[in-house]
Amino acid sequence: MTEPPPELDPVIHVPARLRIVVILAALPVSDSISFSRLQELLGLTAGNLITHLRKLQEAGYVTSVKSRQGGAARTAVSLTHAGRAALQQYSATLRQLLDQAG
Amino acid sequence: MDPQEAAALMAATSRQARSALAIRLPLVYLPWGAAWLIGLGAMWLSVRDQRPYQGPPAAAVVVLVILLLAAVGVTMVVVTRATRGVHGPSAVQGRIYGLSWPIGFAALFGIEGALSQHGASGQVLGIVAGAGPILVTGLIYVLGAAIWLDWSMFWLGAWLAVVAAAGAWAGPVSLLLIGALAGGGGFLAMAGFLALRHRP
Repeated sequence: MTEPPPELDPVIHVPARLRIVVILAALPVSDSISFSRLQELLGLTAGNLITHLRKLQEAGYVTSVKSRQGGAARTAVSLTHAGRAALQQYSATLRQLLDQAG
Repeated sequence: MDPQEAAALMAATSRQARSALAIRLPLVYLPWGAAWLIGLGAMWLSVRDQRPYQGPPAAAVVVLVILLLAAVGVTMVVVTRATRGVHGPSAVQGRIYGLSWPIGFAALFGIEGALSQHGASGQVLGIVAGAGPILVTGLIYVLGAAIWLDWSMFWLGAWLAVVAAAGAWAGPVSLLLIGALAGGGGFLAMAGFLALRHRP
């Protein structure tokens, strides 16, 4: 009897979302990054980024806070503890899969 | 996306994020090293033949101040480019650290004014004006090392404190040469060391 292969978190296992989570995880804990800087680092369109962020937010991996500074709206995005844990889990599962493949 | 591709994408993104978000310390050390080496070196040249010692001429002071302001400008560009859009505790740490510079130097200039007011000789003022900034800078670097857990900042700061004390014993003229070579040189050596170590 063989165990079924472990499953990769489908919320993270999409290139754009994997990159978003890895970039957010590179920030010091409880720091946030502005939407525009994140967009610049990823090279995604604003619409695309919003769609992926919404998916991550629905899973509870990411929070985004809107603020107004001098009239301009600013969105700050950060990784939640659940998101950091999910990335660790994803990374561990990935290593397991690569080890199995040999 | 298969596991290999995912692992490669993670590694590449992580590298990209680290290099985009990290402050490149060699780019900070380089202008400071150059400013001190050239500025203090020029000041030393301007006073080394003075018999008796009269203190550096205004032109030498202006050159040093311009070079130091240029170093401040380069530092701000390097730091802002890395930390743009990043908010939270690390931004507050950076802001408080940034404030330690004007606080330290304002207090030092205040003390220099008081010494001059209370009859300190040109020799003593030359020592305080030369060693003081090196010591203040060194201590702020040690503070930065504690904030960012960076040993290059710690060793540079500790080294500058030693340079300040040793230079003070050498007197107001040789102090400038020691500050230029050991202080400015220390920054340049650390910049070179880090650049070589982080070369891919």
